[in-house]
Amino acid sequence: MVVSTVVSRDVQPNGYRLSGKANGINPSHISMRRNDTLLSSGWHPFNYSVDHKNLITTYGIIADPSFVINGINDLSSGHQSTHVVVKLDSLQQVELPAELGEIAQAIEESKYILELTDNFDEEDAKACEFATWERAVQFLVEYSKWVFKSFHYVIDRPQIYDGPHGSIDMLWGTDRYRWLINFPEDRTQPASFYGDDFKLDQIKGTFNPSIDSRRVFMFLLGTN
Amino acid sequence: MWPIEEIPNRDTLYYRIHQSYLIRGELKPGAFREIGDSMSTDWSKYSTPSDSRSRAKKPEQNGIISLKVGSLRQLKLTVVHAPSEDNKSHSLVKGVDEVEIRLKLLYKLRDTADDHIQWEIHPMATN
Repeated sequence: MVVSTVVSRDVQPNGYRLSGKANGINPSHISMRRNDTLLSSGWHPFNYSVDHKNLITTYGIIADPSFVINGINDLSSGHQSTHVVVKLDSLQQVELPAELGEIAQAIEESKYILELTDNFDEEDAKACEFATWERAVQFLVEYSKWVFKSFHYVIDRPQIYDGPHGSIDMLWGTDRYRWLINFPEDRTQPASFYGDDFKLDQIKGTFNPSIDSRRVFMFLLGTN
Repeated sequence: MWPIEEIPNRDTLYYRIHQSYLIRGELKPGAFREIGDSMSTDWSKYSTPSDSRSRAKKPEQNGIISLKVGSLRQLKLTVVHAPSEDNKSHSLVKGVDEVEIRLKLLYKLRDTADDHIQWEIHPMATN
């Protein structure tokens, strides 16, 4: 089942009312995660509107959050939703396990890159082409899925930015490590990376994101 | 033409950053980039942060950060004075495009306790 990652919010006296589409199922609980990742995801009971086929719940917290739906329990079938889908363009989409909802959100938020035009900084910066962004996104999708499947581990959510000279930067930053991968515009050139734990452990190098280079990035499994 | 001088480690360079390099309040690592083979900056001996900002095509859309020369050289970056006819302060920093350098510069700027790289004029600030 496809679950929308878009959740709209209305401010209510006792918190935020969240709503989102769930393809007309009869849901009992949803799993949500805040975009800042400080709150762990969990299953939350909620009401739904049959007429509108919307999920509606009230989440009473003080801060101003945005949310992503990680999964939905289907009351009628007893099955939990399993995937989130991100559209790359009108023809292509990628599918991720529901547990990787934050990765999907990172990709969604990076779509601003595709709207940049040349000279966006008034200093002749080169805009990023779709193919470069897609190459980086496909790496992230394949890598995060491989880690999840192999180790049942959800990698930290990166930030995806426009980089220098039409490239893409993918940045991970936690209190344990920092990590930057650059995907160049020229597909014949390798991606380059550097990461460290703010102490003695560091790694840098290049790799071809188009082939199986996933084991290079075991570092992202954490340093604990 | 101006003579080329040696820039001492204790001095500061000013680097202009367009507001498009901030998103959701965070600076992107791509803000540090070379044009040609170097990153263009202004030497504090002959420029102020305001002077540097005023050299932008649209100054109101730009901020200025300061970078201590000694701190840049510790990162094994090359810093040279490269005055032009209309800008005696113009200086170049070479080696910035490497991912390691851009990541470290970004974190130094984010670290408010590190005064080797810091905001002088924030892009969101208004005159």
